Amino acid sequence: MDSLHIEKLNVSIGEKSILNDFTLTVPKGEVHALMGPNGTGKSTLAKVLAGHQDYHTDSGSVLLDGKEILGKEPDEISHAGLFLAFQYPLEIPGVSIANFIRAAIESRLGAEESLDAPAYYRRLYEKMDLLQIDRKFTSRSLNEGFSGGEKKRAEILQMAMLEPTYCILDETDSGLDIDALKVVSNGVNFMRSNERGSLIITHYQRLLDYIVPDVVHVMWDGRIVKSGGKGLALELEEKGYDWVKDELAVACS
Amino acid sequence: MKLMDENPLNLPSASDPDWRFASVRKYRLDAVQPTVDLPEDALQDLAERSRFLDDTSGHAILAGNQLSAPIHLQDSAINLGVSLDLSETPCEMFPTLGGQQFLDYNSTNSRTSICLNVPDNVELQSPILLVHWNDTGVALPQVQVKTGKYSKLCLVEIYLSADSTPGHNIASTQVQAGEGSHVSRVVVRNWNPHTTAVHLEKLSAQRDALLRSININIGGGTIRQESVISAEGQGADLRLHSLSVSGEDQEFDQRTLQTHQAPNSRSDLLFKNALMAGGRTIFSGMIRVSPEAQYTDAYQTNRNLLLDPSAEANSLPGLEILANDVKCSHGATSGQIDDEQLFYMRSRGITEQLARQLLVFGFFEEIISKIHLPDLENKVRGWIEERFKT
Ligand SMILES: Nc1ncnc2c1ncn2[C@@H]1O[C@H](COP(=O)(O)OP(=O)(O)OP(=O)(O)O)[C@@H](O)[C@H]1O
Ligand SMILES: [Mg+2]
Repeated sequence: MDSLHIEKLNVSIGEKSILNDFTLTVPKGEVHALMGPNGTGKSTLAKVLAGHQDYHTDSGSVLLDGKEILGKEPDEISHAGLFLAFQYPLEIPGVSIANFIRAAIESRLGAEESLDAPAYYRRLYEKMDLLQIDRKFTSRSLNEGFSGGEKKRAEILQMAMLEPTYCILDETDSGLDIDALKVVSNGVNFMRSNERGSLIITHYQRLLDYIVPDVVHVMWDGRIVKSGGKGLALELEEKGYDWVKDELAVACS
Repeated sequence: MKLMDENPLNLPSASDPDWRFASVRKYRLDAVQPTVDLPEDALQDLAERSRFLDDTSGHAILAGNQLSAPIHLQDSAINLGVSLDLSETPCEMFPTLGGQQFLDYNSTNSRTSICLNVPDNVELQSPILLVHWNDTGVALPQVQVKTGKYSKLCLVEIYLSADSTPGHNIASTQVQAGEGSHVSRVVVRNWNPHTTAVHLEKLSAQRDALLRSININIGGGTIRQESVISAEGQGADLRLHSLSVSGEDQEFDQRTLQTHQAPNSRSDLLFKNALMAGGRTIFSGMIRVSPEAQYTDAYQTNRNLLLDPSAEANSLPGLEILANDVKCSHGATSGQIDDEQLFYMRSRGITEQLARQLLVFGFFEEIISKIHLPDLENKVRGWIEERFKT
């Protein structure tokens, strides 16, 4: 019940099917890693979970603590407790980081409630310090002109501010140098809790040295072909993605 | 009435290429009510409503073709030799971009020509504010500005309607930025929807002068703005920015010419339009670089944000380059709010409606943030928000 539970999800775009009977459960309190070669459907999965409308869901279900989120609007899904850190965060010209996150937090308040602005800024600066984001960034337009690494930090900042129950991080490590990787991992680890589940999508085992997962899943052609402990990531790194294609996928089908 | 009988306004022909896409006949003056002089209390009321800036070096408030109160200039500015007067002499004529008849009409009939002179080496710390209230009839304001060598000026011109009566405005502004001077000008037009207006302006910069002009067009009916900006001395730097919000029964027609007569000069134009249901905009821009204006940089960008399928944005960018070593670019884009940006924002919990609003206001910020006068920026944001509520 207390989990992000994806059951036999089939998703297509146009004629092309991308997710095939995709099934995965991330219980609250655990961190799972999802690894797989390019084009295997990882970002598609992430976006479908977050409510992107371009993809067609043929069948399946996605339960967030027992509640169906498939077919819901992206903002409803966010309010239900899911957060997606984007592989490619969008630039939002003219909307400052502070105002953007503020709007996201205010959208969660009841009609009678109002945001405590000083407390909000205190919390924002605290999280920015943790993620080593210069305070000058608060008034900069979100992601506009940011470097790859700055965009990824801004994603984790939003996540830290919104305190979701389930986090999906789509290739948050790509484009980060080792220092930035440590900072981002630190931010993610800081949020680890018994009350939160995370799914970390990545190509590289390197990230998993810093964010140690409870379970590793290997994805190929729209479904999970092998799951295991954190040793699986090392094995995958060693044997390469051809191993997935030639052995795991064959064994699965 | 008298004014118009003596000097009728001949409208341009609807087939005039300088008026392509424009609703020429909307600019007719024949059904216009005569201008009436306002009583003292009404004038005072308008003066009261003109407190748009906390801190100014001086101001002039006009109601129709009258001064609503004596022109005011701070002692500190007077001591520096700055002058702000009502002039007897009409402004010099300058080339127009199709609106010659309107400039002639303004020049022949205007009774309110405001002249601002800033002497050499004088730096005004706070802005000069000019407010033009439109009432019944045709208002014919003129503004003539000259800045001396290495002086500094910020000028704010605000054009508004006193009430909801239909009004007409035919205005001219001429700014001559002297050598090495820094002039920044902000023009805000927020008339009632029954107003037609033609605003003709010529902005020129001498050697090493920096002249920035920002136009914010919010309210009005059928509005035409012609801006000729001219780099007359080497190293001159001109920046012309505009933001227009066009909605139901609104037409903003903007024609621009960037001319470069001197080498190493620069001009940068960015005109942004947001179009709501039924809104129309026209942007026609030309860059003209003379043979002697080598090493010129000239840029021209028009960006239209279409917020409704019924909106219509027309764009006519142009270049005419006679020098061979220049950097010029021009471009126009029209688009809607990006679905992926919307998805991104909504995935953070922001509702679709608020996400759209934030993106539209974000589109405006690029221009608004260039005003650099916080109280005016907030005023403008407020006016635009009101525009979106109606
Ligand atoms: N909007 C789209 N239109 C058409 N095809 C798409 C679209 N989005 C994804 N695809 C296709 O679906 C497949 C899965 O793409 P997806 O981005 O989910 O892969 P990924 O596993 O995230 O890859 P990467 O590791 O490169 O990020 C790819 O073949 C891709 O080309
Ligand atoms: Mg991907």
